[in-house]
Amino acid sequence: MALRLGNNYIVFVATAAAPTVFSMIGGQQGGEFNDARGSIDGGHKTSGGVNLKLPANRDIAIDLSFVADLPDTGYSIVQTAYNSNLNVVVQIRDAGAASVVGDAVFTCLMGQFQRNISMPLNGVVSGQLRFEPAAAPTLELVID
Amino acid sequence: MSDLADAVHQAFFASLQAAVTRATVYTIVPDKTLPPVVVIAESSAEQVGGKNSDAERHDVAVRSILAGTSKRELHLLMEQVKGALHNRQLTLAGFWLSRVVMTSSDDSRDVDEGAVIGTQNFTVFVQRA
Repeated sequence: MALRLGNNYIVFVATAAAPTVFSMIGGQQGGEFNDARGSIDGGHKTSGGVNLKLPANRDIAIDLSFVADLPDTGYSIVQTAYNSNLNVVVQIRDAGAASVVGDAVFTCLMGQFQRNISMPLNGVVSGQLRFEPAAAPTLELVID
Repeated sequence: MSDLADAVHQAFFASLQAAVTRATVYTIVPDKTLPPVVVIAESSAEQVGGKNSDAERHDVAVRSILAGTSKRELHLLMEQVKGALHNRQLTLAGFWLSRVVMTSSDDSRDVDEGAVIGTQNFTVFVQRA
């Protein structure tokens, strides 16, 4: 057994038009993978006084924070896609900046639904991005 | 500290040496050196880069020391220090430095030593080019 260091988990992106050509988004700091499954109420009069829950669809979101270390190919991909309302292929890899495709633990065609940029006095420009699925994930280890 | 700290000190020293005429600029003041002197004093660094980048924020104190009791002479010297660094984009081969910002300053009198002392605090971001 070994602990997993968050620094090694890096988000890469590719355009939907070239979904196998990935670029790292530079300057990544925090990253969050959120996955919540909805439930359908299956309780009935003879379910023993228990509200039965049936699995419904999931809400998946990747939240990413970064410092602007530009120019950066990965950020250009997400910026262009966001401005043009296009999806991107998001891949999380777990072997740091030198990760290759074989290090992927999550891959999914996703839309970009939030872009916040902070420009503080005497500080570095930073940002937050949010991605949510446009299709079911094709790889879903996340951590392994 | 890292070699980025050395880069910051080199860039600060070069700019101060070129602009300050009212005192001699040092990184470490030799023993028995008389004022007026400007010295690159305490500094601290903080990692601000991402998971794949090595960028640091450096906070550097520059201290001006004059013999006597004239706050006006001290302030004129500190103005030269400010002009050498504040809002200046310093350069050093192999490194990128952000625009330097003076974040605070203060002055005081050392009665025992018969000197007036000014401290100016600067912030700069640095990474390898």
